[in-house]
Amino acid sequence: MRPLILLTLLFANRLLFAGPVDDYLAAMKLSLGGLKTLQADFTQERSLAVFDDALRSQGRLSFASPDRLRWELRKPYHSVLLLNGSGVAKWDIDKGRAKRAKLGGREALQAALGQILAMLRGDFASIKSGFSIQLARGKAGGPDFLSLKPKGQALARYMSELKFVIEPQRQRVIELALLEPGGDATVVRFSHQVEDQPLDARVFDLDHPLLDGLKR
Amino acid sequence: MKGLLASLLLAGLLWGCAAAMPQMEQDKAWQAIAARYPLGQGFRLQQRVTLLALGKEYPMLAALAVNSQGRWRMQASSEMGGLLFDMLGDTASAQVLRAPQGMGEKPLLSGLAKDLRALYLKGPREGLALKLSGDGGFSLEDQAWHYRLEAQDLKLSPGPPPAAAFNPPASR
Repeated sequence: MRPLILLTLLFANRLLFAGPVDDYLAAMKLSLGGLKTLQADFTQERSLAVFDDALRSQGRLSFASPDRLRWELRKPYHSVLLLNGSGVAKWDIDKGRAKRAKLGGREALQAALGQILAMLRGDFASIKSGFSIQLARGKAGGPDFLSLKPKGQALARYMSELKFVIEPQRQRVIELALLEPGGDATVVRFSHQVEDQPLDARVFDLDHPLLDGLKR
Repeated sequence: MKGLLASLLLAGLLWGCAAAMPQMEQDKAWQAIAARYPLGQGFRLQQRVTLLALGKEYPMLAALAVNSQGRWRMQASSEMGGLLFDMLGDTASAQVLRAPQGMGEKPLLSGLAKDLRALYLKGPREGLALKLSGDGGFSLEDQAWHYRLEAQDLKLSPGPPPAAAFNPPASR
């Protein structure tokens, strides 16, 4: 069974145990608000409905409060997306050499990275008004589920739902699913989360990012 | 006089060789692409693609399905998920199922769809420059639309794609 179908079934089941959304989001913000740094591995699976195919990728996420983010894809190719304050950059690494991309469409990328940043800070206030939100609490220590469905048609053209799977004890997002109107889906799973360890500032440096000793 | 003639002949030969070289490279590149993506029973392909236009780079992931009759479906999404555009076509025509926000259908129909047909179905055409890159990828320059595509295969699955790939959605 595809993980997404399983996720949907679990979600439907747990809707019966829904609690008040605002209290939950406030608690989440409180819990994540104190987070200084975070590093985590991630796997990303993009399922293409009409092609009956999927593409899996792997990488590492780094975050430093309040506004620095690094989204590093390591497989099937190596690239680094960086958000540092109001700046954004992309580096492509190929055959041991790193090259900074002359990025077009910066605003869209900045917006996407900004959403991830907001999620890591537990800051759903900025996006709350645009979505109808449902919460399903997990049973017996199982994960909680948050579902965000866009209210406006403009956003609904691109996504039908955003789903968060949340580890309930510390309210950390362990899985994120972007479901699209045509049936395509992108599911990101986080693991090996390490919190509040000092991070080298160069991890987030737009011009000279730390790239494991690679040549530029 | 003899020396001058010989020099002119040599210069002519060298000029001819120099002019022929790019064409030979082009032919070789198109042959390599035709061999890499044989139509056979069809195939599904996922690529990392960068569109270079007006000095900017637009990275995306492209998924393509082609069947044995030459019908094709192509979807491009951003690297972080989210559909950018969607096209459906055959060896002669194409339709845009979704255009990128803020862009009309013309660059897709007159540019990308024709390039795609040339690459995977029909072979070279005037105004296209194809170059193989060392990593199993290629770059394709469309001289009419002034853009370049750099593509790298991520996943190639030979065999007939699902029929649903070639059905336009009821509504978008």
